[in-house]
This record gives sequence, C-alpha cells and structure tokens, in this order.
Amino acid sequence: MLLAGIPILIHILNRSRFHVEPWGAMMFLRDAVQVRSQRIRIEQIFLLALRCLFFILAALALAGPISKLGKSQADDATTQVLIIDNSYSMQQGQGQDRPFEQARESALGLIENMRSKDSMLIIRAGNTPTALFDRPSFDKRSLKAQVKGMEPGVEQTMDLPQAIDHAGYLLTKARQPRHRIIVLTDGMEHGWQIDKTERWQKSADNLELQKIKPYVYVLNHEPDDDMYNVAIQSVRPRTPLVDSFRDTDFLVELYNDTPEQRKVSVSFYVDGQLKRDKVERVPAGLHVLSFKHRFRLKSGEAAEEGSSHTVRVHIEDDDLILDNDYSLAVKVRHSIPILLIAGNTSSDVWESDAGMLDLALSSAGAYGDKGLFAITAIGLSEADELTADELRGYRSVILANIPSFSRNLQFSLTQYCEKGGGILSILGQNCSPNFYQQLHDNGKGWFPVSLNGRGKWQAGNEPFHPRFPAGAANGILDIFDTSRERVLRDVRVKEYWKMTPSADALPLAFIGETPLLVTRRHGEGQSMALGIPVKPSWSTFPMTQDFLPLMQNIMLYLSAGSMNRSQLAQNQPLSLSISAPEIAASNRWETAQIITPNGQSNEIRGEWIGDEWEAEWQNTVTAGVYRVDIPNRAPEHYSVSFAAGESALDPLETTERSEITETLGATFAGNMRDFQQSMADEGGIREWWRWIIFFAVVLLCLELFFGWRFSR
Amino acid sequence: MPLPTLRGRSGSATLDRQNIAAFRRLEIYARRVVEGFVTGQHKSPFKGFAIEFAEHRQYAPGDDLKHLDWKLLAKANRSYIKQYEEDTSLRAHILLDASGSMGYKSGDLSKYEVGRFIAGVLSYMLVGQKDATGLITFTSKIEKYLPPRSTSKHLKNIIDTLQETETGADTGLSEVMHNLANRIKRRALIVIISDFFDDPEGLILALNHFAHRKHEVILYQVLDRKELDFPFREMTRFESLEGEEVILTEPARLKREYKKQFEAHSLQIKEACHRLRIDFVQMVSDEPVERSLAKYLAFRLKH
Repeated sequence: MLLAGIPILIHILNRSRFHVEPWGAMMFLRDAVQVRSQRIRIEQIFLLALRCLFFILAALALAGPISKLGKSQADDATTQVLIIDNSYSMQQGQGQDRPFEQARESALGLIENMRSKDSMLIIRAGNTPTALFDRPSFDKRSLKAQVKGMEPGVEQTMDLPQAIDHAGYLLTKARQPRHRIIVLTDGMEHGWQIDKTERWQKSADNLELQKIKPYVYVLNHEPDDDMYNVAIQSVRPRTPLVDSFRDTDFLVELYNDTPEQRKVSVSFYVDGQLKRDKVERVPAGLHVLSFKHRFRLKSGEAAEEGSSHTVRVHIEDDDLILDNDYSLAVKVRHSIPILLIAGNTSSDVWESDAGMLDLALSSAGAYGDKGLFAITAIGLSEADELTADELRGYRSVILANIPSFSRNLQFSLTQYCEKGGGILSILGQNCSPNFYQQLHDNGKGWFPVSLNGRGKWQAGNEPFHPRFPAGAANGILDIFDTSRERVLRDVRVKEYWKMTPSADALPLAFIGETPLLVTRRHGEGQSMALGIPVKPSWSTFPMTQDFLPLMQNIMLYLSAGSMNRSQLAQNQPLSLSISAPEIAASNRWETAQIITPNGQSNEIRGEWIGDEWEAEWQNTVTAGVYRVDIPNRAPEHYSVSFAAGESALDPLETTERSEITETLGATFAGNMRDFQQSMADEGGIREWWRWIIFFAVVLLCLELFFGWRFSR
Repeated sequence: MPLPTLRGRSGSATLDRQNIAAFRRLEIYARRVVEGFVTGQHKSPFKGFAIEFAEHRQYAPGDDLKHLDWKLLAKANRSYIKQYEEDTSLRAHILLDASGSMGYKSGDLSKYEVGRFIAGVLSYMLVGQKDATGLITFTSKIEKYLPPRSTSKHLKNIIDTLQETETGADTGLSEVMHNLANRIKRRALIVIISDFFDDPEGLILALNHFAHRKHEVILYQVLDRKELDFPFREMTRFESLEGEEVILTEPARLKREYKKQFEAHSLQIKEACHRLRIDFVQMVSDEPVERSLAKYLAFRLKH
C-alpha cells in the first residue's frame, strides 16, 4: 500500500520541482488554463489513479510468489514427507531410465533443495508403508544415504491411500508450520486403488481434519509408452505332492500385459542347474506352459525324510525384470507312509476292509517296482491307543469302515489333522451314523459330512453312475483324461451312504445330486469321506480300472498336507517347526542358519517345545529361495514369491487420476519443472500473481498512452 | 537587386546578433539596409502624403504632362503646369512597446532588442531621407515622446533614447494607441513595434482610430519563437513579466489550447489590419532581423 503512495509523492515532488519561465504571453496562457483546467485536473487524477494502481499491482506481483494473503508463507519452515513408490513396476526399463531411479534422483534433488530449517521424512510405499525415519530429519546426508540405499522393487505393489494416511499421521508429530506430502510414482494404476473411491475420500478427510493441512503433490515418472511386461505369475507342480516315482509336471503361468504376442525365452532350473530352456510365444493375457522333471533319490538320502529341492523359472526379453524370476521350494517324497486302520480284518481280501486298499496302494502301478506308499495296516483295537505324535509319523490315515473308535483316537486324529495330516474315511456297513455325527460336530469337527442314511439301488433300475461336477479342478481329478466326460465309466453303485457336506466342504463326485466323495480342509490338514466301502457288494468300484489310480491320487492329495508351508508370500513370516523326537536333549540345537536369496547368512534362534524345535524368521521381503541349514540335518528350502501384482503395466487414465487428485486436493505434475512450478504456486497465489502482472502491464500501457495523448 | 547582408566585420551572424543586442553599429546596419533600397532608386519606400497646389506656370516642352492643368486647358485653351508645395519629408512616428512582455528572451535576442533595432534602423532610414521622425516609447503609458524632426541631432536623440529605454512592467497598448491617435493630428506614418499582447478589441479600435485620421499604419509584431511554439514539456512556473501573476502548470497539456488562443488573437489582428489596409509584419526574434526588415522594405518598395 505504501507503494501506491509513490505516484502521489512523485506528483507532489514534481509540483515542487519545476522550471521557472519569465513569461510575456500570459494572456494566452491564462485563457488556456481557464479553458483546460478542469480537464487537466481530471486527466491528472486519472493518470495518478492509474499510476497508483500500477504500483499496487506491481507490489502485489512482487509479493505474489512469496506471500499468501499478505503473509509470507513461503518462508515458513516446512516438513516434507516423500512417499517413494517401491512397487516393482517402478523397475521397468533399463538403468537410470527406470522410474524408480528417476524417483530416486528426484528425491535426492528435493533433499538437496531443503533449507536448513526444513525437515523431511521418507516413506517407502509398498504393500505396507514403511517410514525410513521415525521422526523428521534435518540431516541431508543421512536422508540422502537412506534414499541411495533403498532397494528397488522389493515390494509387490503400493497401497497409496495407506501411504498417504501414514504420511499424514507422521506429519501430526512435526513441529514446522508448513506441511507437504510429495508422492514419487510411475502412475501405474495398480497401487492407486482406483475402484475404491471411498478409500481416497477417507484419506482426504483425514488430511482435512489435521491442524495444519498438508499440501499434496504427485510427481509422476511415467515410463515410455512402448514398455511391455511378461510376468511369471506362478510356478507349481500339477499334483500337490511331488515324488520321485514319476515325472512331475511343473505348470508355469505367464502373463502378457500387451495385446500383441510376445516372444520370451524361458529357462527351467532345478537345484540351480539349467534343465531346459526354450523360446515361447506368449499370446496376450494368461498363458500356461509346462516343464517335466523327475526327481531322484540321491544316495545317502533317507527315503522316509524326503528331500528338499528348488525349482526356478526365469524369463527374459521384456521391460520389467523383477517378475521374470520365480523360485519354488519343493519337497520331494520318496516314500509316503500311510496308516490303514481296518474296521474289519479278514484273510479274504474282498471281505477285509483294508485288503483291497492295501493291495491298491502297495501296487507299484505307475511308480516303478517299488511302491510309493508304505502301508501300515492295523486293526481298530491297536489303533485306539495311538497318540497324535505316533500318528504324525504317517502322511495320511485311512479309516476303513470303522464303526466307532475311542476318545483317545478321536483326540489324536483331531490333533493329527489340524497339524497337517490327511484322513480318508471310507464308510461301510459298519459305520455308526451317530458316532460320525459326533465327529462331524455340526461342521466343526474334522469329519466333513453328516450322514443321512443309505441309498440303495432298486431292482429293475439302472445302477448309479457317479459323476464329477463339470469344471471342477483339483489334483485328484487330473488323472482323468479331460477329453472324456468326467465319469467313473465302469462303476456301478448299488448302495451308498447319503452325505450332506459341511458348509465349507467340497463335493468331488456325485450319485445323482448326492455327494459320493467329499473333501474338507481342517486346520493344516485335509479330511475326506467316501460314501461307499471298497466292497463289491456295494459297488463295482474296486473292480474297475479307475479304482487304483483314483485311490492313489486320493492318498497323494491327502498326504500333501502342509506341503505349501514351504511356499511363502512376500513378508509372510517363515515359520520353522522341526520334529526331532530322535534327537537326545544333549544334542539339540539352539540356532539355525538362514541363507537369503541374495546370499546373506543370518542366524535364527528357536526353542524346543517337546520334541519340536520352533523358530520364526520375519524378513522375507526378498523374493527367492531361502535355505535353512540345521545342524546334522539336510537343509530345508522355502521360497518367497511375488503374488500376481503389478504385472499389468497400466498407467492411470487421466480421468481416474484427476478424480483421485481432486478428492485428495493434490497437484499432479508430469515432470520436475511443472512440479517445482506448482510448489511455487503453493497457496494459490501464483495464478493470481500472473493476472496481477498482466493487469499491471496493461495499466502501464494505458498510463503511457493516456499520458502521451493528454500531452498532445 | 540583392538584399543587403548585414554582417559584422568578423562576418559572423553571432556577432550581428550581439551587435543588435548591444544596439551598436546601428548606423552601419541602417545604412546598409537603406542603401539597398534608396541608393540608385531615388525613391523611398515611404511616400509622402501632403502635396499642396501653389501656382501655375507656363508649360514648357519637356514638362511632365501629369502635372498639366487640363481643366484650365479646356476652359481657357491655355497650357499651364501646376506647381505644388511639396512636403519635403514624411512625418513618421515610431511607436516602440517597452512593456514587460517585450523583455521576453528565449534565445540571444529579446523581443525588445529586436524591436529596438527595427526602430533604430527605421529611424536612420527615415531621418537619412530628411523625413521627420518621432519616437514614442510606452508601457502602460507613454514613457518618452520625441516629436518628429529630421535633423541629425534629433536622430541621435532617438538613438540615445532607444538605447536608454528598458522594458517596464505593465502594458497598456490599446490605451496608449488611442491616446496617440488623439495627439497625432497631422497625417503621418505610424509604425508600431510591439508584440501586441493585449485585448484585440481594444487594439482594433485603436487601429480604427488611426485609420480614421488617415494615418498610414504599419504594425511590426515581434514575437519570440517559444511564444509561438510553446515547446515547454516539464512542469513550469510561468511568471508574468508584467506583474505578479504566476501560473504553475504542465505546459504540454495546455499547448494546444494556448496555440489556439494565440492564433485566434493573431488572426483577429491580421483580419483587422487587412480590413483597414494596414501592413502587418510578423517577425520572430530568432530569425535574421535585417533579412526580415529588408524583405519587408523590398515588398513595400514594389507596392
């Protein structure tokens, strides 16, 4: 406002500083003044007003970039939170062109530009946001060191709303008067949760409620348009249990996020050795290919223990390498111990409940001369005294036509199944419905069905044809050729138990609408019920060619149990539970070594609970195979892999981005220059400032024009 | 006939103007101007007025037939030449405005110095031709009155008076002119040297008065270039040379109106002069004085 007085001051000074002219022609001058005086006054006032206004606008323009409504907020000390997108789409491209490296450079630049009174927090935005400091730091060196040391792409994806919430929370503890949140990202839609607008609204509301509302910026480091990605989504064995008796089919799921077919080279490794590589043409979308491998029992390895192996698949020739590797820890079984508890023992194999089963499971079949299954058949009386620990020595337990059993066995079986054991209950004429109802316990028990009496074939009608539900896919059914209809073609059922599955049970085969074979997960184990006994009087099933492979597959399925305990998701804790009843107390180990995928060795300390040594390792951020070395034991392998996350490199649509940034009140910038300009605009003055300058220039032109015009 | 060049011994125009300002070497200048017109012409640019009949004489061959009395010839069949009693010289009054406004000077010569120079040159010219010449200097009243004489001593009086007279304060041109018109009974040549910065109505009335008395009037308006162009830009305090009046203004804003007023005033006077058959000569102080004077005299000689 003082500047507005300058023209007035100049005007006053001018009137006191003048040229003196002795003049003769006063009459003309006098007359001219008389005629023009009023107009001159008006013109002077007009020009003075223009000049005053010009100075006011000039003053505002000068103050614009550094003030907000008169206050100079740009000078305020600022706490900034940098949210660095650490999802693995930030790794697409090569070298310094990768969005992550660009974001890192931007972060270093922002740290460098910090003033001494400014502080900063850095959040690594992944599946969960992680603050690299627990409080704002003024130390540029340590901030830079943290940023330089950030490992790129270890997170699967980014939960940005959560990261912003976390940033907002951290800022409530900051003392500076000005708060700013800056997101450095590549703008891939996956972490933005675009379908959860209420989530964004909540974040916006949280920021609004803060005492000092932070300014929010998004600096986008969008990669080139022609990037494409083919990702390994998963690698798994076709069957849940891998054994050394047959080729294991490893299914590799690739995902091509482009509309065009892409050619990638695929390499298949077992235990670090390249077994096979090929060039695969991957069409758009999901594509499955397979590799076969036969594991062998090595000399010196104990067949009962099984062996731990690693399988790795690697692809090349795309722009995002982080999802080009997939590792799998595989437990290979060389022998599957099965406990067969027979309700009725007889020397006649057809009469004995265990006879046909023993025969079928012991048969070499497709497994060479020596059977995979090591069957231990016992009677009910012997079984009644078994403890859970004793049962644990078997991968699965078959209850063949058991009428009922002791409380002890009930308890043991419950414990056994919860810990990962598999139970097959084959129902026959001996079964007591009331007893099994108890085991069912209204869906809470491990028995997967409630029994509703028996169904019988009526004379003169066609016998029942079991069928499998169309589209059902699980390991058991893979033995059937999918080109055929999924029916047990030659099986005729005369009599069967009517079963009603628990709500969370899965029927696998039907007689009409009634389930014939039902499975259910209980704890870490699996429980299955078959509604017909292995007796010709009930069905022709034992005599058909489907009997042997189906029963073996059922047992493989049940025996897989806690196979997946070696497959971990990123950041899932690695839980070790090693049962070693044979180890004497004096020889027990206290620690083990975990070797991470990048070769680092870490000591892990556990504790003995009974005959089990248990320990937990939390740091499973890095994908790959973790090897656990336990003294005097074969190493165990665990694999950590990314779930299918940001394999699709879909950038945010402009409208999506606008919606989110508007909800959040954020400013979006596509490059550092726009970003710095928008920071300079903070408070919204800059736009006004530009208009002010514009009008000031207009005023100046008007003043010059009218000044010339009036003086003519 | 080439116009006389009035250059000082050094030959520089600056020296001329210094001489004019100092009102010296007037005689030389006057002589030079006059020589250019009178010498060889036997004529004055200023003609006499009063020629009275005295007597007849017998016509002799060779007499100018213009003076033959044709009436007598017709009546009495006699050829006689009229003989006149000629006024041997013109009666001229030079009126020099010595009011404050004439003292305005923006260059090296003030209007008064120019006017004085003109008065001096004319005085030399007229007295040199044995024309009785008088001088009247005035401000708001007559300051000095020298009646018309044709002696060299009188000429010296005129020159001394011109030299001594300084510009005064007020102006009262119209009133003085009325007064003089009443006083000057005999027909005469009235040369008024002024800037004529006065009420034009009054001026014109005074001129009418002179014309009514059959005087021949020449108006020399002496102006300064700045008074004509009004070139002032910066804030200026104009202090009247004829009083206490002060005007502080931005002259650029007034220029147009000023010039309009000035031109209207000049036009009014010129129109009146035209109507009254009065010669009006406008001279600007930055123009060569002698050239303007010589130009006018040449014009007058032809007409």
